[in-house]
Amino acid sequence: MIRRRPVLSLLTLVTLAFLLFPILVVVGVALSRGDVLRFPPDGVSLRWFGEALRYQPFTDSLGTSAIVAGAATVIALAVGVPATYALHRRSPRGRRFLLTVFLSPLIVPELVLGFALFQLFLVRAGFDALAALIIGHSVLLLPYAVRVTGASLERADPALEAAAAGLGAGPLRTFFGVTLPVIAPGVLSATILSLLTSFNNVPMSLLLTSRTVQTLPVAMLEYVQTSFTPMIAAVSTLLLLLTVAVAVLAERLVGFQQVFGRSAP
Amino acid sequence: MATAALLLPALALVLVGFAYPYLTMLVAPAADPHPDVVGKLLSAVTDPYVVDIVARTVRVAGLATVLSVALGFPVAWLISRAPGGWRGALLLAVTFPLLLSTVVRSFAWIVLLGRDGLVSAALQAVGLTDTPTQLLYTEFAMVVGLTQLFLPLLVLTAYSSLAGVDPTLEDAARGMGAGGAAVFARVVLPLALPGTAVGAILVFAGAVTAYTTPSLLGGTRNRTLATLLYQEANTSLDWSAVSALAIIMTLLVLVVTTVMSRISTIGSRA
Amino acid sequence: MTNVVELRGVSQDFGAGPVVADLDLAVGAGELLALLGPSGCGKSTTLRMIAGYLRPTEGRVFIRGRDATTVAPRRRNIGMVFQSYALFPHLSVAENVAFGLRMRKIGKPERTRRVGEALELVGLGELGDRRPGQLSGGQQQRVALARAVVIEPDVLLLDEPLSNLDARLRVQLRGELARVQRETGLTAVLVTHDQEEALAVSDRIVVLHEGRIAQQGTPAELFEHPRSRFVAQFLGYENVLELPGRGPVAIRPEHVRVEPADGAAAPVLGPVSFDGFVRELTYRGTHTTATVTVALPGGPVSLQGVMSGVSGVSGADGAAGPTLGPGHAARVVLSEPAIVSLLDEPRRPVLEENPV
Repeated sequence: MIRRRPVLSLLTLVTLAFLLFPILVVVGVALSRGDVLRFPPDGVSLRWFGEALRYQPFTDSLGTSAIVAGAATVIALAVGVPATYALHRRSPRGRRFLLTVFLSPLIVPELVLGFALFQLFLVRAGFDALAALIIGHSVLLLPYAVRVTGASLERADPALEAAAAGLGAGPLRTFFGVTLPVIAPGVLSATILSLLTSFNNVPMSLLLTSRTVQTLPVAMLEYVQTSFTPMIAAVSTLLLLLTVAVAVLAERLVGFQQVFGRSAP
Repeated sequence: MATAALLLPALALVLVGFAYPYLTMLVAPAADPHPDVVGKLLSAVTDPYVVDIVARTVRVAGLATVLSVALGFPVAWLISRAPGGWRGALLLAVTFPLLLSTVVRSFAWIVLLGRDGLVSAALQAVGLTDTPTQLLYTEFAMVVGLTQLFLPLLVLTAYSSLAGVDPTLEDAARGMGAGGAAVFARVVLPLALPGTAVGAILVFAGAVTAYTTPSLLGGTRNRTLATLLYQEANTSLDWSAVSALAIIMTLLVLVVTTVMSRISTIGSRA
Repeated sequence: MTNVVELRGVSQDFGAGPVVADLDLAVGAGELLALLGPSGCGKSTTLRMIAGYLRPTEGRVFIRGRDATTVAPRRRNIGMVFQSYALFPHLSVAENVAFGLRMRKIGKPERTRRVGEALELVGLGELGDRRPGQLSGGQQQRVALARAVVIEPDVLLLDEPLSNLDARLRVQLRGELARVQRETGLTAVLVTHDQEEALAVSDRIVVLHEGRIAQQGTPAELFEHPRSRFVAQFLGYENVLELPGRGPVAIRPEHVRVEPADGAAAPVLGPVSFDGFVRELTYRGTHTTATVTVALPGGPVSLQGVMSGVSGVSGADGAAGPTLGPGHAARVVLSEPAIVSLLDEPRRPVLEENPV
C-alpha cells in the first residue's frame, strides 16, 4: 500500500506522528530525573511517579473523579435505557422531538452548562459540589447512553419481544430475559464510553469545585498552571496506562469497533 | 409499563439538570436581586475587549478547523482505501488519543513549544531563527494544540462518510470511462462532502468552546471566550455579566453551526 | 365441528381506512387454514389479531369458545412462528424451545423431555446445544417451529414462515411443516402470498383481497372453480375474458392452444377459437407460450396460450407446423372443458381489454 500511494502515505505518517508524538513526550517527561520540564528528559527515573501517587490533591481528586464517574454513569443508564427502549419500541408521539431533547446536552458548550449549574446549584442553592458534579455529569452522559443503546436496540429484531410475549412472558420478564441480554453489548459500550467521558471531563467540572471537592483533570490543570515539574507528566502517564487497560478490556468484552466505532458523533 | 413512565425519569433529568439551570442563567443568574442579563449582553457585544476576544476565538478555531480538514481528509481517504489489516490499525492509532483527557493531550506542547523546547531547537538547527524562540502562549500554539485535539474527530467522520460511498458507484463511473481523478472528483468527493462537512462543524464547535488548550497554550495574554468566561465566573460577582458571556458563547456556536450546515447543504444540492 | 378460532365482524383500521373489513372467519379443530393474498391484503394483520398483538377496531375474536378480544398475547395459548423466526440469540436452541415451558412453570425434568421430543419431531435432535447464530436458515425455521409446538398451543400461527428461504428449501420445509402439523394434530393458520404453498399444504384456503374474503374453500375447490377475476388471476389463470353468451370466464394458458391461422384445418377440440396476431413469445423450457391479441365482439383482448408445432410440442395431427413469430397471424383455441365461469364477476355488456 505504501508503494502505491507514496505521497498520501507520507502525509498519513506525518499526521500520525503529529497526533501520537505528544503522548510519547508526556511519557518521556514523566521519566525525567530532574525537576525541569524538558524533552528529551535528562536522565531516567521513576521518582515522579512516586511523587504523583503521594500528592494529596491528586489522590483525593482521583477518588472524587471515580465516584462522580460511577454515579453519573449509573444514573445516565438507569434513566437513559428505559427512555431509549420507549423511543424505539413504543413509537410515542413526538418521538423525534423527544430524541432531540435527550441529545440536546451535546449542542450546548460544556463550559456554559457548567456555569449554569454553578450559578444555580452552588451559588444560589448552596448544594454540595459533589452533588452538582454528579448531576452535571449525568446530564452530560445521557446522550451517550441514549444514542449507543439506541443503535443496539435498532439492530435487534423487534419480533424477539413479541415472541417472548406470545410464549407467555410478562413485560418485566421480557425486558430482563430477552431485551437486555440482546442489547448488552450496547449497554456495555455505553458504560465504558460514559465512564471515560466523565473521568476525562474538564470544562463542565471546572466551576463545580470546592475546597475539598475536585475532579482529577481539574486538579491536574490547576497544578500545570502553577507548578512546572514533571509530576504532571507522571500522573498523565498513569492515566494513560489506565485508559489503555480499559480499552483492552473493552476490546475483550465487546470488540473495539463496537465501542469506539460509534463514539464519533 | 406505561410509555410515559419509561420516559419520565430521563425527562426529569434533562429538566432539572439542564433546562432549568439554563433558564435561571438567562433570567436571574445566581439569585442576583437585580439581574440585567440583556443589558450586560448589549454592553458586552459593544465592548471592544470582548469583541477582540471573540474574534480571536473564531480565528483560532477557524484555522484549527481548516488544518484539521486539510490534513484529516486525505488521511481519511487513505484509510478508507487501505487493505483491511492496515485500516483497523490506522483507525486505532488515530482514535486512541480521543480516549485521553485534554490536559494530557495538550500538556506536551508546553514542553515542545517552550523557549528551550524541541520545536525551537529544530528551528534553530534548520536556520530559521538565531535565538531560542518562545512559541508558547501564542495564537500559533493554540492553533497547533486545537488541531491536534480535533484532528481525530475529523478523520473519523470523514472516514465513515468515505467508507459509506458505495464502491459499485466508482466501478460504474469507471465503466463509463472516467479516470481515477475524475472518479474521485465527480463521484467520491461530492458524496463524502456532506459527512465531512458535519465533521468540520463539530470540530469548529469544539474548538470555539474549548477551555483547556487555550488556557494552557495561550496564556493570559491570549484569552479566548472560554478562558474569559472562566475567569469572570471565578472572580467577578456581576453574575449578569458572566451570564452574558455564556450566552454569547452559546449563540456563537449555534449561529456558526447553523450557517455552516446551511452552506454545506446548499453546496451538496447544487 | 368445534371451531378453535373464530373471528366475528372483525375490522382493523389504522386511521387511513380499513385494512381488514368486517371479517368472519372460523378455523376448525386440527385443520390447517391458509390466509392467502398479495401484500397489503390484510392477512398478516388478521393473524396478529388472532395472536393478540393487535386489537381489532371492531368485532370479536374467540379462541376455544371464549372471547379473547381484549386478552394479551401471553395469556392466549398461541404458538407463533415469525417470518424472521425471532430466535433468542443469547439462548441455546434447547433453551429457546424451553422458553414457553418455563413461562408456564413446567418443572425441569418434564421440560427437558418435551424439548427433546419437539426437537426430534422437527429433525434437530442433535443440535440442542447450538446457538441460533450457528444454524442455517432452514434449521432456524425448524427451531422456531419446535418452540411454537412444544407448548401445545390452542392454535399454531405461522406468519410467512418460509418467505426468507430460497426456493428449494421452501419446498422442502413446507412438506416438513405439513407433516408436523399432521403429527401433532394442532390447529394452524398459515399466512402466505405463495399460492403454490397454500395449495400444497392447507386443508382450506381463505383468499383475502383488500381486507375482505374474496373466496374460501378447499385447495381443489379454489383451484378448479375460482369465482372472481382476482382469485383466478392470483391462482395463475392468466386469461380472463368475456365470452359472448357465457359471461366472464377464465382459462389457464396450459389449456389454450396457439396455432398458425393461415389455411388451418378446423379445430379439433371444441368450437371456441379466435383469430388474431401474435404479440410476443416466451420460451419456458418445456414449452413456449405466445401472447396473442384477438378480436372479440367487445374489443381486442390479449390471450396467452401454448404454442403447438414448435419446440417439439406438436399439433393434433402429430406434424410440426410452420413456426410463428411476432406479428404473424395465429388462431387461439380454448379447450372447452377447461373454461371456468367466474360466478362472482358481474356480466358486463361491454368487454374490457385484458391487462397485459
